[in-house]
Amino acid sequence: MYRKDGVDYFIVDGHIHFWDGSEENTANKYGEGFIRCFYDYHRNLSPEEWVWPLEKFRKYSEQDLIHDLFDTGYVDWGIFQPTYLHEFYRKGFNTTERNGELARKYPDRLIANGSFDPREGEAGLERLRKLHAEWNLRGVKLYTAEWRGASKGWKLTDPEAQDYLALCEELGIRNIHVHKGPTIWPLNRDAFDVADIDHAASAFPALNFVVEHSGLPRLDDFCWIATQEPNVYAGLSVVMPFIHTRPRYFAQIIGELRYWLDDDRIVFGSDYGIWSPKWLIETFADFQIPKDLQSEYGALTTEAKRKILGLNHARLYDLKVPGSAQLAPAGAVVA
Amino acid sequence: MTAVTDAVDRVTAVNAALAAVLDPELDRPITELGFVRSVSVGADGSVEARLRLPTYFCAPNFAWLMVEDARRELARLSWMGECTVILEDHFASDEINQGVGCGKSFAEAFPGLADPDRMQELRAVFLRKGHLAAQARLGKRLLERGWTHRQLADAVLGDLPERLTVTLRRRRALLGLPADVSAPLFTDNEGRAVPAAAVERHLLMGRTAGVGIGANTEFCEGLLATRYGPAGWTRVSRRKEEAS
Repeated sequence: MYRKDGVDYFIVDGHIHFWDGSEENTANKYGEGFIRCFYDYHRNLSPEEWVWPLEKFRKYSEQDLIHDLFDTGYVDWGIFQPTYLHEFYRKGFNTTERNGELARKYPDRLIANGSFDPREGEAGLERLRKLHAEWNLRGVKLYTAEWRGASKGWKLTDPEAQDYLALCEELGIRNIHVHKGPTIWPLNRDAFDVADIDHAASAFPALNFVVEHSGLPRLDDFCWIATQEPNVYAGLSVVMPFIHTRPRYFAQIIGELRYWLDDDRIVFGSDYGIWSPKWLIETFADFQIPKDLQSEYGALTTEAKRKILGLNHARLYDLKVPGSAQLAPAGAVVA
Repeated sequence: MTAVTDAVDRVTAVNAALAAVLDPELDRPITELGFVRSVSVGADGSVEARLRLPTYFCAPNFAWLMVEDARRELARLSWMGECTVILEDHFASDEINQGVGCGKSFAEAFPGLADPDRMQELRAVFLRKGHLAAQARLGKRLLERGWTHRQLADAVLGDLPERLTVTLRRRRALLGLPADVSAPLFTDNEGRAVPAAAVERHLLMGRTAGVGIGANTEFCEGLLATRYGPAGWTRVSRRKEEAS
Protein backbone atom coordinates (compact mmCIF):
# COMPACT_ATOMS: atom_id res chain seq x y z
CA MET A 1 0.00 0.00 0.00
CA TYR A 2 1.22 3.46 -0.81
CA ARG A 3 -0.12 6.43 1.09
CA LYS A 4 0.30 9.99 -0.16
CA ASP A 5 -1.57 13.11 0.90
CA GLY A 6 -4.10 11.05 2.82
CA VAL A 7 -4.89 8.79 -0.14
CA ASP A 8 -4.30 5.02 0.02
CA TYR A 9 -3.16 3.39 -3.20
CA PHE A 10 -3.56 -0.38 -3.46
CA ILE A 11 -0.60 -1.52 -5.54
CA VAL A 12 -0.50 -4.47 -7.93
CA ASP A 13 2.69 -4.77 -9.93
CA GLY A 14 1.46 -6.84 -12.85
CA HIS A 15 4.79 -7.43 -14.52
CA ILE A 16 7.68 -8.78 -12.48
CA HIS A 17 10.46 -11.30 -13.04
CA PHE A 18 12.81 -13.46 -11.04
CA TRP A 19 15.36 -14.30 -13.71
CA ASP A 20 18.73 -15.96 -13.77
CA GLY A 21 21.04 -14.32 -16.28
CA SER A 22 24.19 -15.32 -14.37
CA GLU A 23 27.30 -16.31 -16.27
CA GLU A 24 26.91 -19.93 -15.12
CA ASN A 25 23.41 -20.08 -16.59
CA THR A 26 24.20 -18.22 -19.83
CA ALA A 27 24.50 -20.75 -22.65
CA ASN A 28 25.77 -18.64 -25.56
CA LYS A 29 26.40 -15.18 -27.00
CA TYR A 30 22.69 -14.63 -27.46
CA GLY A 31 22.05 -15.12 -23.76
CA GLU A 32 24.94 -12.72 -23.04
CA GLY A 33 23.56 -10.16 -25.49
CA PHE A 34 20.04 -10.50 -24.13
CA ILE A 35 20.88 -9.74 -20.49
CA ARG A 36 23.13 -6.85 -21.54
CA CYS A 37 20.33 -5.46 -23.66
CA PHE A 38 18.03 -5.59 -20.61
CA TYR A 39 20.78 -3.94 -18.58
CA ASP A 40 20.92 -1.06 -21.05
CA TYR A 41 17.14 -0.65 -20.73
CA HIS A 42 17.70 -0.53 -16.98
CA ARG A 43 20.53 2.02 -17.13
CA ASN A 44 18.84 4.15 -19.76
CA LEU A 45 15.57 4.89 -17.96
CA SER A 46 16.37 4.46 -14.25
CA PRO A 47 17.25 7.35 -11.94
CA GLU A 48 20.96 7.18 -11.16
CA GLU A 49 20.52 6.01 -7.58
CA TRP A 50 18.50 3.05 -8.81
CA VAL A 51 21.11 1.67 -11.20
CA TRP A 52 22.47 -1.71 -10.09
CA PRO A 53 25.89 -3.17 -10.85
CA LEU A 54 25.74 -5.62 -13.76
CA GLU A 55 26.56 -8.56 -11.50
CA LYS A 56 23.51 -7.95 -9.33
CA PHE A 57 21.36 -7.32 -12.37
CA ARG A 58 22.26 -10.68 -13.90
CA LYS A 59 20.95 -12.56 -10.90
CA TYR A 60 19.34 -10.79 -7.98
CA SER A 61 18.35 -12.65 -4.86
CA GLU A 62 15.04 -13.51 -3.28
CA GLN A 63 15.91 -11.01 -0.54
CA ASP A 64 16.45 -8.28 -3.15
CA LEU A 65 13.05 -8.95 -4.68
CA ILE A 66 11.20 -9.08 -1.36
CA HIS A 67 12.94 -5.90 -0.23
CA ASP A 68 12.39 -3.94 -3.44
CA LEU A 69 8.76 -4.95 -3.90
CA PHE A 70 7.32 -5.39 -0.44
CA ASP A 71 9.62 -3.87 2.21
CA THR A 72 10.22 -0.58 0.43
CA GLY A 73 8.29 -0.76 -2.85
CA TYR A 74 4.69 -0.49 -1.56
CA VAL A 75 3.59 -3.50 -3.65
CA ASP A 76 0.60 -5.45 -2.28
CA TRP A 77 0.67 -8.09 -5.00
CA GLY A 78 3.25 -8.93 -7.62
CA ILE A 79 2.49 -10.98 -10.73
CA PHE A 80 5.28 -12.98 -12.39
CA GLN A 81 5.29 -13.04 -16.17
CA PRO A 82 7.57 -15.84 -17.36
CA THR A 83 10.14 -15.63 -20.18
CA TYR A 84 11.56 -19.12 -20.74
CA LEU A 85 14.38 -18.59 -23.30
CA HIS A 86 15.71 -22.14 -22.99
CA GLU A 87 17.84 -21.63 -26.12
CA PHE A 88 19.83 -18.88 -24.39
CA TYR A 89 20.01 -20.04 -20.79
CA ARG A 90 20.83 -23.51 -19.54
CA LYS A 91 18.05 -23.71 -16.97
CA GLY A 92 15.85 -21.16 -18.71
CA PHE A 93 15.77 -17.43 -17.92
CA ASN A 94 12.61 -16.71 -15.96
CA THR A 95 10.47 -19.83 -15.88
CA THR A 96 7.13 -20.53 -14.24
CA GLU A 97 8.92 -23.04 -12.00
CA ARG A 98 11.56 -20.57 -10.82
CA ASN A 99 8.95 -17.86 -10.24
CA GLY A 100 6.51 -20.38 -8.77
CA GLU A 101 8.86 -21.41 -6.00
CA LEU A 102 8.81 -17.86 -4.72
CA ALA A 103 5.07 -17.54 -5.25
CA ARG A 104 4.61 -20.66 -3.12
CA LYS A 105 6.64 -19.10 -0.30
CA TYR A 106 4.63 -15.87 -0.38
CA PRO A 107 1.17 -17.05 -1.42
CA ASP A 108 -0.58 -13.88 -0.27
CA ARG A 109 1.79 -11.55 -2.14
CA LEU A 110 2.99 -13.24 -5.33
CA ILE A 111 1.22 -14.81 -8.30
CA ALA A 112 3.00 -16.99 -10.88
CA ASN A 113 1.63 -16.93 -14.40
CA GLY A 114 2.19 -19.70 -16.94
CA SER A 115 2.62 -19.82 -20.67
CA PHE A 116 1.66 -21.95 -23.64
CA ASP A 117 2.55 -22.39 -27.27
CA PRO A 118 -0.28 -23.68 -29.48
CA ARG A 119 2.21 -25.25 -31.87
CA GLU A 120 2.72 -28.02 -29.31
CA GLY A 121 -0.69 -29.37 -30.28
CA GLU A 122 -2.40 -31.96 -28.05
CA ALA A 123 0.70 -32.44 -25.92
CA GLY A 124 0.76 -28.72 -25.19
CA LEU A 125 -2.85 -28.73 -24.07
CA GLU A 126 -2.02 -31.49 -21.63
CA ARG A 127 1.03 -29.55 -20.48
CA LEU A 128 -1.12 -26.50 -19.85
CA ARG A 129 -3.54 -28.60 -17.77
CA LYS A 130 -0.63 -29.88 -15.70
CA LEU A 131 0.89 -26.43 -15.32
CA HIS A 132 -2.47 -25.17 -14.13
CA ALA A 133 -2.89 -28.10 -11.72
CA GLU A 134 0.51 -27.37 -10.23
CA TRP A 135 0.42 -23.57 -10.03
CA ASN A 136 -3.29 -22.76 -10.07
CA LEU A 137 -2.77 -20.31 -12.91
CA ARG A 138 -4.81 -17.14 -13.18
CA GLY A 139 -2.95 -15.84 -16.18
CA VAL A 140 -0.52 -16.69 -18.96
CA LYS A 141 2.14 -14.74 -20.79
CA LEU A 142 2.38 -15.39 -24.51
CA TYR A 143 5.07 -14.66 -27.08
CA THR A 144 3.38 -14.90 -30.45
CA ALA A 145 6.48 -14.10 -32.51
CA GLU A 146 8.67 -16.85 -31.09
CA TRP A 147 10.33 -19.16 -33.55
CA ARG A 148 9.86 -22.92 -33.21
CA GLY A 149 11.09 -25.53 -35.68
CA ALA A 150 9.96 -24.50 -39.14
CA SER A 151 7.35 -22.10 -37.76
CA LYS A 152 8.12 -18.40 -37.68
CA GLY A 153 5.67 -17.41 -35.00
CA TRP A 154 1.96 -17.83 -34.53
CA LYS A 155 -1.15 -15.74 -34.15
CA LEU A 156 -3.97 -15.74 -31.64
CA THR A 157 -6.24 -16.30 -34.63
CA ASP A 158 -4.61 -19.63 -35.63
CA PRO A 159 -7.04 -22.58 -35.37
CA GLU A 160 -4.79 -24.33 -32.81
CA ALA A 161 -4.75 -21.26 -30.62
CA GLN A 162 -8.54 -21.40 -30.30
CA ASP A 163 -8.28 -24.73 -28.42
CA TYR A 164 -5.80 -23.23 -26.01
CA LEU A 165 -7.84 -20.12 -25.36
CA ALA A 166 -10.93 -22.29 -24.88
CA LEU A 167 -8.99 -24.39 -22.37
CA CYS A 168 -7.92 -21.23 -20.53
CA GLU A 169 -11.56 -20.25 -20.30
CA GLU A 170 -12.49 -23.71 -19.04
CA LEU A 171 -9.75 -23.73 -16.40
CA GLY A 172 -10.47 -20.19 -15.25
CA ILE A 173 -7.21 -18.74 -16.58
CA ARG A 174 -8.79 -15.42 -17.41
CA ASN A 175 -5.83 -13.14 -18.03
CA ILE A 176 -3.97 -13.45 -21.29
CA HIS A 177 -0.87 -11.23 -21.30
CA VAL A 178 0.55 -10.87 -24.76
CA HIS A 179 4.06 -9.64 -25.46
CA LYS A 180 3.93 -7.41 -28.48
CA GLY A 181 7.38 -5.98 -28.69
CA PRO A 182 10.95 -6.62 -29.75
CA THR A 183 11.75 -10.24 -30.56
CA ILE A 184 14.75 -12.02 -31.93
CA TRP A 185 13.21 -14.85 -33.91
CA PRO A 186 11.80 -14.99 -36.47
CA LEU A 187 13.79 -12.32 -38.09
CA ASN A 188 11.56 -10.53 -40.53
CA ARG A 189 8.21 -10.91 -38.89
CA ASP A 190 6.50 -7.75 -37.81
CA ALA A 191 6.50 -8.74 -34.17
CA PHE A 192 4.55 -5.67 -33.11
CA ASP A 193 1.50 -6.54 -35.17
CA VAL A 194 -1.47 -6.42 -32.80
CA ALA A 195 -4.23 -7.27 -35.29
CA ASP A 196 -4.72 -10.80 -33.97
CA ILE A 197 -5.68 -9.42 -30.53
CA ASP A 198 -8.75 -7.90 -32.11
CA HIS A 199 -10.19 -11.24 -33.28
CA ALA A 200 -9.25 -13.19 -30.17
CA ALA A 201 -10.82 -10.57 -27.90
CA SER A 202 -14.07 -10.79 -29.88
CA ALA A 203 -14.06 -14.58 -29.93
CA PHE A 204 -13.34 -14.89 -26.19
CA PRO A 205 -15.19 -12.08 -24.46
CA ALA A 206 -14.79 -13.75 -21.03
CA LEU A 207 -10.99 -13.54 -21.26
CA ASN A 208 -8.96 -10.39 -20.65
CA PHE A 209 -6.19 -9.54 -23.08
CA VAL A 210 -3.43 -7.42 -21.61
CA VAL A 211 -1.12 -6.06 -24.30
CA GLU A 212 2.25 -5.45 -22.69
CA HIS A 213 4.10 -2.26 -23.57
CA SER A 214 0.75 -0.98 -24.91
CA GLY A 215 1.69 -2.01 -28.42
CA LEU A 216 4.54 0.50 -28.69
CA PRO A 217 5.69 1.49 -31.25
CA ARG A 218 2.35 0.68 -32.85
CA LEU A 219 0.43 2.67 -30.31
CA ASP A 220 -2.12 3.83 -32.89
CA ASP A 221 -2.99 0.29 -34.02
CA PHE A 222 -3.28 -0.87 -30.45
CA CYS A 223 -5.50 2.04 -29.42
CA TRP A 224 -7.76 1.52 -32.38
CA ILE A 225 -8.32 -2.13 -31.43
CA ALA A 226 -8.73 -1.42 -27.74
CA THR A 227 -11.38 1.18 -28.51
CA GLN A 228 -13.52 -1.51 -30.07
CA GLU A 229 -12.82 -4.43 -27.72
CA PRO A 230 -13.83 -3.87 -24.08
CA ASN A 231 -11.71 -6.79 -22.83
CA VAL A 232 -8.40 -5.42 -24.15
CA TYR A 233 -6.07 -3.78 -21.63
CA ALA A 234 -2.93 -1.66 -21.90
CA GLY A 235 0.01 -2.90 -19.82
CA LEU A 236 2.36 -0.09 -18.79
CA SER A 237 5.57 -2.12 -18.54
CA VAL A 238 8.38 -0.26 -20.38
CA VAL A 239 6.05 2.75 -20.76
CA MET A 240 6.05 3.67 -17.08
CA PRO A 241 9.78 4.46 -16.63
CA PHE A 242 9.53 7.17 -19.32
CA ILE A 243 8.09 9.19 -16.45
CA HIS A 244 11.59 9.95 -15.15
CA THR A 245 13.75 10.92 -18.14
CA ARG A 246 11.01 11.57 -20.70
CA PRO A 247 8.03 12.88 -18.69
CA ARG A 248 6.52 14.71 -21.62
CA TYR A 249 6.39 11.58 -23.72
CA PHE A 250 5.00 9.68 -20.78
CA ALA A 251 2.24 12.29 -20.52
CA GLN A 252 1.42 11.91 -24.18
CA ILE A 253 1.31 8.11 -24.08
CA ILE A 254 -0.85 8.00 -20.98
CA GLY A 255 -3.00 10.74 -22.52
CA GLU A 256 -3.50 8.72 -25.70
CA LEU A 257 -4.34 5.56 -23.75
CA ARG A 258 -6.88 7.41 -21.61
CA TYR A 259 -8.41 8.98 -24.71
CA TRP A 260 -8.88 5.76 -26.67
CA LEU A 261 -9.43 3.33 -23.80
CA ASP A 262 -10.47 4.53 -20.34
CA ASP A 263 -9.03 4.52 -16.84
CA ASP A 264 -10.38 1.03 -16.14
CA ARG A 265 -8.24 -0.64 -18.78
CA ILE A 266 -4.73 0.62 -18.08
CA VAL A 267 -2.60 -1.48 -15.73
CA PHE A 268 0.69 -0.89 -13.93
CA GLY A 269 3.75 -3.09 -14.33
CA SER A 270 7.35 -2.27 -13.38
CA ASP A 271 9.08 -5.04 -15.33
CA TYR A 272 11.14 -5.65 -12.16
CA GLY A 273 14.20 -6.21 -12.09
CA ILE A 274 14.54 -3.94 -15.14
CA TRP A 275 12.95 -1.18 -13.10
CA SER A 276 11.98 -0.97 -9.43
CA PRO A 277 8.40 -0.19 -8.39
CA LYS A 278 9.21 2.23 -5.55
CA TRP A 279 10.35 5.16 -7.64
CA LEU A 280 7.82 4.49 -10.38
CA ILE A 281 4.91 4.54 -7.91
CA GLU A 282 6.11 7.62 -6.04
CA THR A 283 6.69 9.53 -9.27
CA PHE A 284 3.39 8.45 -10.82
CA ALA A 285 1.33 9.41 -7.75
CA ASP A 286 2.82 12.92 -8.01
CA PHE A 287 2.63 13.12 -11.79
CA GLN A 288 0.50 15.53 -13.74
CA ILE A 289 0.02 16.11 -17.47
CA PRO A 290 1.92 19.34 -18.36
CA LYS A 291 -0.36 22.37 -18.54
CA ASP A 292 0.06 22.93 -22.27
CA LEU A 293 -0.95 19.34 -23.03
CA GLN A 294 -4.03 19.37 -20.82
CA SER A 295 -6.22 20.94 -23.51
CA GLU A 296 -5.65 17.78 -25.55
CA TYR A 297 -5.39 15.16 -22.85
CA GLY A 298 -7.08 16.54 -19.75
CA ALA A 299 -5.63 16.16 -16.26
CA LEU A 300 -4.73 12.91 -14.55
CA THR A 301 -7.05 12.43 -11.58
CA THR A 302 -6.23 10.71 -8.31
CA GLU A 303 -9.00 8.25 -9.07
CA ALA A 304 -7.36 7.33 -12.39
CA LYS A 305 -4.01 6.83 -10.66
CA ARG A 306 -5.56 4.54 -8.05
CA LYS A 307 -7.18 2.44 -10.74
CA ILE A 308 -4.03 2.19 -12.83
CA LEU A 309 -1.70 1.38 -9.92
CA GLY A 310 -3.76 -1.46 -8.52
CA LEU A 311 -7.54 -1.44 -8.59
CA ASN A 312 -7.78 -2.57 -12.22
CA HIS A 313 -5.47 -5.52 -11.67
CA ALA A 314 -7.30 -6.34 -8.44
CA ARG A 315 -10.46 -6.74 -10.51
CA LEU A 316 -8.75 -8.93 -13.12
CA TYR A 317 -7.11 -11.18 -10.53
CA ASP A 318 -9.87 -11.15 -7.87
CA LEU A 319 -7.67 -9.57 -5.22
CA LYS A 320 -9.25 -8.23 -2.06
CA VAL A 321 -8.79 -4.48 -1.67
CA PRO A 322 -8.82 -2.97 1.84
CA GLY A 323 -11.62 -0.47 2.40
CA SER A 324 -9.28 2.51 2.69
CA ALA A 325 -7.95 1.94 -0.82
CA GLN A 326 -11.30 1.47 -2.51
CA LEU A 327 -12.90 4.23 -4.49
CA ALA A 328 -15.85 6.03 -3.01
CA PRO A 329 -19.06 4.65 -4.53
CA ALA A 330 -20.32 6.66 -7.47
CA GLY A 331 -22.29 9.67 -6.34
CA ALA A 332 -20.74 9.74 -2.89
CA VAL A 333 -19.40 13.05 -1.66
CA VAL A 334 -15.64 13.03 -1.37
CA ALA A 335 -14.25 15.29 1.31
CA MET B 1 45.07 21.80 -51.58
CA THR B 2 42.55 20.75 -54.20
CA ALA B 3 42.89 17.15 -53.11
CA VAL B 4 42.04 18.13 -49.55
CA THR B 5 39.04 20.14 -50.68
CA ASP B 6 37.93 17.25 -52.84
CA ALA B 7 38.24 14.81 -49.97
CA VAL B 8 36.25 17.06 -47.63
CA ASP B 9 33.60 17.50 -50.30
CA ARG B 10 33.42 13.79 -50.77
CA VAL B 11 32.93 13.09 -47.07
CA THR B 12 30.21 15.73 -47.09
CA ALA B 13 28.61 14.02 -50.06
CA VAL B 14 28.74 10.66 -48.29
CA ASN B 15 27.04 12.10 -45.23
CA ALA B 16 24.42 13.76 -47.40
CA ALA B 17 23.72 10.44 -49.11
CA LEU B 18 23.36 8.69 -45.77
CA ALA B 19 20.99 11.43 -44.59
CA ALA B 20 18.50 10.05 -47.11
CA VAL B 21 18.39 6.74 -45.24
CA LEU B 22 15.53 6.52 -42.74
CA ASP B 23 15.20 4.29 -39.76
CA PRO B 24 11.94 2.78 -41.01
CA GLU B 25 10.48 2.41 -37.55
CA LEU B 26 11.48 5.81 -36.21
CA ASP B 27 10.80 7.76 -39.40
CA ARG B 28 14.06 9.73 -39.08
CA PRO B 29 17.35 9.82 -40.97
CA ILE B 30 20.05 7.57 -39.51
CA THR B 31 22.45 10.51 -39.52
CA GLU B 32 20.24 12.44 -37.09
CA LEU B 33 19.80 9.41 -34.88
CA GLY B 34 23.54 8.90 -34.48
CA PHE B 35 23.49 5.50 -36.15
CA VAL B 36 26.38 6.45 -38.46
CA ARG B 37 29.46 5.85 -36.36
CA SER B 38 31.99 6.87 -38.99
CA VAL B 39 32.49 7.36 -42.68
CA SER B 40 35.75 7.37 -44.58
CA VAL B 41 36.71 8.02 -48.17
CA GLY B 42 39.86 6.63 -49.74
CA ALA B 43 42.01 8.37 -52.34
CA ASP B 44 40.75 5.82 -54.87
CA GLY B 45 37.14 6.82 -54.22
CA SER B 46 36.42 3.85 -52.00
CA VAL B 47 33.83 4.51 -49.31
CA GLU B 48 33.38 2.84 -45.99
CA ALA B 49 30.45 3.61 -43.69
CA ARG B 50 30.13 2.06 -40.28
CA LEU B 51 26.71 1.90 -38.68
CA ARG B 52 25.66 1.03 -35.16
CA LEU B 53 22.35 0.63 -33.38
CA PRO B 54 20.99 1.22 -29.87
CA THR B 55 21.03 -2.46 -28.85
CA TYR B 56 22.62 -5.78 -29.71
CA PHE B 57 19.14 -7.16 -30.35
CA CYS B 58 17.60 -4.38 -32.42
CA ALA B 59 15.21 -5.96 -34.90
CA PRO B 60 17.39 -7.44 -37.66
CA ASN B 61 14.80 -6.74 -40.32
CA PHE B 62 14.99 -2.99 -39.74
CA ALA B 63 18.76 -3.19 -39.42
CA TRP B 64 18.89 -4.91 -42.78
CA LEU B 65 16.76 -2.25 -44.43
CA MET B 66 19.06 0.50 -43.16
CA VAL B 67 22.24 -1.22 -44.36
CA GLU B 68 20.66 -1.97 -47.73
CA ASP B 69 19.33 1.57 -48.12
CA ALA B 70 22.74 2.99 -47.17
CA ARG B 71 24.40 1.00 -49.93
CA ARG B 72 21.79 2.08 -52.44
CA GLU B 73 22.11 5.77 -51.57
CA LEU B 74 25.91 5.61 -51.68
CA ALA B 75 25.78 3.93 -55.09
CA ARG B 76 24.38 7.20 -56.47
CA LEU B 77 27.74 8.92 -55.94
CA SER B 78 29.27 9.03 -59.39
CA TRP B 79 32.91 9.04 -58.22
CA MET B 80 32.53 6.18 -55.79
CA GLY B 81 34.77 3.15 -56.12
CA GLU B 82 34.42 0.19 -53.81
CA CYS B 83 31.65 0.56 -51.23
CA THR B 84 31.59 -1.09 -47.83
CA VAL B 85 28.78 -0.69 -45.31
CA ILE B 86 29.39 -2.35 -41.99
CA LEU B 87 26.90 -2.82 -39.17
CA GLU B 88 28.81 -3.13 -35.90
CA ASP B 89 28.02 -4.75 -32.56
CA HIS B 90 24.85 -6.52 -33.61
CA PHE B 91 23.96 -10.15 -33.05
CA ALA B 92 23.31 -10.58 -36.78
CA SER B 93 26.14 -8.31 -38.01
CA ASP B 94 27.88 -11.05 -40.00
CA GLU B 95 24.80 -12.23 -41.84
CA ILE B 96 23.62 -8.70 -42.59
CA ASN B 97 27.00 -7.32 -43.70
CA GLN B 98 27.76 -10.27 -45.94
CA GLY B 99 24.20 -10.62 -47.19
CA VAL B 100 23.75 -7.01 -48.20
CA GLY B 101 27.29 -6.81 -49.55
CA CYS B 102 26.63 -9.73 -51.88
CA GLY B 103 23.29 -8.34 -52.99
CA LYS B 104 21.32 -11.13 -51.39
CA SER B 105 17.73 -10.81 -50.29
CA PHE B 106 16.95 -10.92 -46.58
CA ALA B 107 15.36 -14.36 -46.87
CA GLU B 108 18.46 -15.66 -48.68
CA ALA B 109 20.77 -14.31 -46.00
CA PHE B 110 18.80 -16.05 -43.28
CA PRO B 111 17.72 -19.31 -44.86
CA GLY B 112 14.90 -20.92 -42.95
CA LEU B 113 14.50 -17.98 -40.61
CA ALA B 114 12.66 -15.50 -42.75
CA ASP B 115 9.73 -15.46 -45.15
CA PRO B 116 10.40 -14.05 -48.60
CA ASP B 117 8.65 -10.85 -49.71
CA ARG B 118 7.81 -9.57 -46.27
CA MET B 119 10.37 -6.78 -46.14
CA GLN B 120 8.67 -4.32 -48.48
CA GLU B 121 5.40 -4.83 -46.68
CA LEU B 122 7.08 -4.16 -43.35
CA ARG B 123 8.72 -1.03 -44.67
CA ALA B 124 5.39 0.20 -46.04
CA VAL B 125 3.62 -0.32 -42.70
CA PHE B 126 5.93 2.13 -40.99
CA LEU B 127 6.14 4.55 -43.89
CA ARG B 128 2.36 4.81 -43.71
CA LYS B 129 2.60 5.62 -40.02
CA GLY B 130 5.14 8.33 -40.77
CA HIS B 131 2.87 9.69 -43.49
CA LEU B 132 -0.14 9.70 -41.16
CA ALA B 133 1.83 11.34 -38.34
CA ALA B 134 3.09 14.05 -40.71
CA GLN B 135 -0.50 14.79 -41.74
CA ALA B 136 -1.54 15.10 -38.10
CA ARG B 137 1.25 17.59 -37.36
CA LEU B 138 0.30 19.65 -40.37
CA GLY B 139 -3.42 19.43 -39.60
CA LYS B 140 -2.83 20.67 -36.09
CA ARG B 141 -0.91 23.70 -37.33
CA LEU B 142 -3.60 24.56 -39.85
CA LEU B 143 -6.43 24.17 -37.34
CA GLU B 144 -4.55 26.48 -35.00
CA ARG B 145 -4.44 29.01 -37.82
CA GLY B 146 -8.19 28.85 -38.13
CA TRP B 147 -8.74 26.32 -40.91
CA THR B 148 -11.96 24.27 -40.72
CA HIS B 149 -12.25 20.52 -41.23
CA ARG B 150 -14.03 21.21 -44.50
CA GLN B 151 -11.11 23.35 -45.72
CA LEU B 152 -8.63 20.66 -44.70
CA ALA B 153 -10.62 18.06 -46.62
CA ASP B 154 -10.71 20.20 -49.76
CA ALA B 155 -7.06 21.29 -49.69
CA VAL B 156 -4.41 20.04 -52.12
CA LEU B 157 -0.64 20.02 -51.71
CA GLY B 158 -0.27 23.06 -53.96
CA ASP B 159 -2.30 25.19 -51.54
CA LEU B 160 0.58 25.30 -49.08
CA PRO B 161 4.17 26.58 -49.30
CA GLU B 162 6.50 23.69 -50.16
CA ARG B 163 8.42 23.91 -46.90
CA LEU B 164 5.30 22.80 -44.98
CA THR B 165 4.83 19.66 -47.03
CA VAL B 166 8.41 18.37 -47.40
CA THR B 167 7.96 15.31 -45.17
CA LEU B 168 4.54 14.58 -46.59
CA ARG B 169 5.79 14.57 -50.16
CA ARG B 170 8.88 12.51 -49.34
CA ARG B 171 6.84 9.80 -47.60
CA ARG B 172 4.37 9.74 -50.48
CA ALA B 173 7.14 9.34 -53.01
CA LEU B 174 8.46 6.34 -51.09
CA LEU B 175 4.96 4.86 -50.83
CA GLY B 176 4.22 5.44 -54.51
CA LEU B 177 1.32 7.80 -53.71
CA PRO B 178 0.55 10.95 -55.71
CA ALA B 179 2.65 13.86 -54.45
CA ASP B 180 1.98 16.51 -57.12
CA VAL B 181 0.42 19.90 -56.46
CA SER B 182 -3.09 18.65 -57.20
CA ALA B 183 -2.90 15.69 -54.78
CA PRO B 184 -5.14 15.98 -51.71
CA LEU B 185 -3.39 17.28 -48.60
CA PHE B 186 -5.00 14.68 -46.36
CA THR B 187 -5.27 11.15 -47.67
CA ASP B 188 -5.76 7.59 -46.52
CA ASN B 189 -3.13 4.89 -47.12
CA GLU B 190 -4.20 4.55 -50.74
CA GLY B 191 -3.96 8.25 -51.53
CA ARG B 192 -7.70 8.90 -51.47
CA ALA B 193 -8.87 12.22 -50.02
CA VAL B 194 -10.22 12.09 -46.47
CA PRO B 195 -13.83 13.36 -46.38
CA ALA B 196 -14.53 16.35 -44.11
CA ALA B 197 -16.57 14.24 -41.68
CA ALA B 198 -13.62 11.89 -41.18
CA VAL B 199 -10.88 14.50 -40.86
CA GLU B 200 -11.05 14.78 -37.08
CA ARG B 201 -10.67 11.02 -36.54
CA HIS B 202 -7.93 10.90 -39.18
CA LEU B 203 -5.90 13.57 -37.39
CA LEU B 204 -6.43 11.86 -34.02
CA MET B 205 -5.11 8.58 -35.37
CA GLY B 206 -2.15 10.46 -36.79
CA ARG B 207 -1.51 12.15 -33.47
CA THR B 208 -1.43 8.77 -31.75
CA ALA B 209 0.85 7.33 -34.43
CA GLY B 210 3.17 10.31 -33.96
CA VAL B 211 3.29 9.82 -30.19
CA GLY B 212 4.14 6.14 -30.73
CA ILE B 213 6.96 6.93 -33.14
CA GLY B 214 8.23 9.78 -30.98
CA ALA B 215 8.28 7.75 -27.78
CA ASN B 216 10.06 4.92 -29.51
CA THR B 217 12.64 7.35 -30.87
CA GLU B 218 13.28 8.75 -27.41
CA PHE B 219 13.77 5.25 -26.10
CA CYS B 220 16.19 4.30 -28.88
CA GLU B 221 18.19 7.52 -28.59
CA GLY B 222 18.53 6.98 -24.88
CA LEU B 223 19.68 3.42 -25.41
CA LEU B 224 22.25 4.50 -27.97
CA ALA B 225 23.66 7.05 -25.55
CA THR B 226 23.68 4.45 -22.78
CA ARG B 227 25.57 2.06 -24.99
CA TYR B 228 28.09 4.39 -26.60
CA GLY B 229 28.13 7.52 -24.45
CA PRO B 230 26.29 10.76 -25.22
CA ALA B 231 29.21 12.42 -27.00
CA GLY B 232 30.07 9.53 -29.28
CA TRP B 233 27.34 9.86 -31.76
CA THR B 234 28.43 12.91 -33.69
CA ARG B 235 31.90 11.65 -34.44
CA VAL B 236 32.69 11.52 -38.12
CA SER B 237 36.13 10.35 -39.08
CA ARG B 238 38.16 10.41 -42.23
CA ARG B 239 41.02 8.26 -43.30
CA LYS B 240 44.36 9.98 -42.97
CA GLU B 241 45.44 9.15 -46.48
CA GLU B 242 42.47 10.76 -48.15
CA ALA B 243 43.98 14.24 -47.90
CA SER B 244 47.41 13.25 -49.09
